Amino acid sequence: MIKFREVTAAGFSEASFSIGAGVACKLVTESNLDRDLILHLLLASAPAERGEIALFGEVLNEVTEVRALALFSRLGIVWSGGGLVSNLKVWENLLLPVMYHRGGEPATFEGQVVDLLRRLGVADDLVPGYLQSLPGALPAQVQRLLGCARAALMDPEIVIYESAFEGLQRDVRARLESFAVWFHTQRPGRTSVYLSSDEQSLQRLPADLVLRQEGGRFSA
Amino acid sequence: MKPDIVQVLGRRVLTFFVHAVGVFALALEAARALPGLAQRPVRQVFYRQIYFTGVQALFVVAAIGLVLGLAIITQVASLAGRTTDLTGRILVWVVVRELGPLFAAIIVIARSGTAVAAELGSMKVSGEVGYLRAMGIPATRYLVMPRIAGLTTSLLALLFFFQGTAVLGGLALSSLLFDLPFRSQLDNLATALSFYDLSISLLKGLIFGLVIAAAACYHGLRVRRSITEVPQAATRAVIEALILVVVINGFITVASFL
Repeated sequence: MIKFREVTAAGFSEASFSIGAGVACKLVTESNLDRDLILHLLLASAPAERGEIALFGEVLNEVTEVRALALFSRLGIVWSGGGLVSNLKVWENLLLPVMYHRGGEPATFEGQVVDLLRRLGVADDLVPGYLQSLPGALPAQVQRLLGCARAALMDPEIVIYESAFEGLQRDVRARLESFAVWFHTQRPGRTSVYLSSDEQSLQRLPADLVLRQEGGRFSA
Repeated sequence: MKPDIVQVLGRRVLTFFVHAVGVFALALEAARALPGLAQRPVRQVFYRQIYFTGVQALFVVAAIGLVLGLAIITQVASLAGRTTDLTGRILVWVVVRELGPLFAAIIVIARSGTAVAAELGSMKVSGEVGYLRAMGIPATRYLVMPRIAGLTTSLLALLFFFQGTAVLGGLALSSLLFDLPFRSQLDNLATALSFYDLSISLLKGLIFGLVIAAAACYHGLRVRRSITEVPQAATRAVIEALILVVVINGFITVASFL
């Protein structure tokens, strides 16, 4: 699903690793800079000096921008900052990727959104208020939960949690962790990548594979 | 060594041309993304842009149109007399062909050009354009195209609204204030107004809308890391849109009389 082959770029020197289908993987970098670099390389927004990066079996620097975007639509990223678009209400934010890629009527997603938010521990009475708010008006950890719901609504084949378990209140973190574990099992072959520079924050998450950056390389 | 004035000017002119090429390339790219309007989220951005640029500007456009129309009609009547058919022709030349498109463009540049550039610049700085890309949503299709389409549609509507307010409102006010014959002036105007004049006005509105919106999007998306780049992008978008609009207006006006 995700493959880095001898990638050299900024902090990486001939870094190679592979994360297969259905795997829950902790990907631990030495710094936030390296964590961001992995995402930039994976989203083809920063070029590698050497090596190959493949997503869903397709080498990113060999595909067109349109094809790359089609591959990204099969990814779900839970950003530490929430990743919501500031000028859209939360409801519009949650529906944006699914409506953009799959179409349909907004009302048909209502039940799914409510279920996902409930599973993320958002109290039912808070949901209508959150959905009608602009993201900027909400606390950072709520934005992260909402961003997680948006990623989940797309039913992605790969979910990447970018430092998603850091800096949260204990109960919110526990809810997000149990959501991540549950969500991993909800689609056969789904890959979950817990990406962080702080291994402690991933401690309570079960994983099939742990990849740690050492120097410019990754080892299991 | 101080750079001489020719060098500085040359660099500025060159930069302007590079940006102008970028603006036109972005407008072309957005045109190719037009089928995206079939998607609901894209259409919502398009409607919002029409609301912000078109609907919310109606009052300002009406007020300016009314005052300008009154001033022009009063001046023309005092120079050319109350019943001459010259009034109608001057109104067509000045309001319909020149000032209508220019004023509508200036109002849109001031209100929406700055807003679009600042909004996209802020989105770029806060990483939101990157978040969209990570969801497989291209900026050209979701952010740029509906803004260009919405702003251009709004400018065309505002242009005709401005002309209508300036001409009809101006004639009505001047007939009330200075006892000018409303009906005969309106007849003069109708006689002088041709489909060709309206087409020229429409062409200007269309091109101005495209240029203003593309310049705003181009400069907004050129912002890189710092929030201090956002106001600079808005200023550049306004200045370049103004220059392009004035130059294009001159070309079309001259070409229409050849």
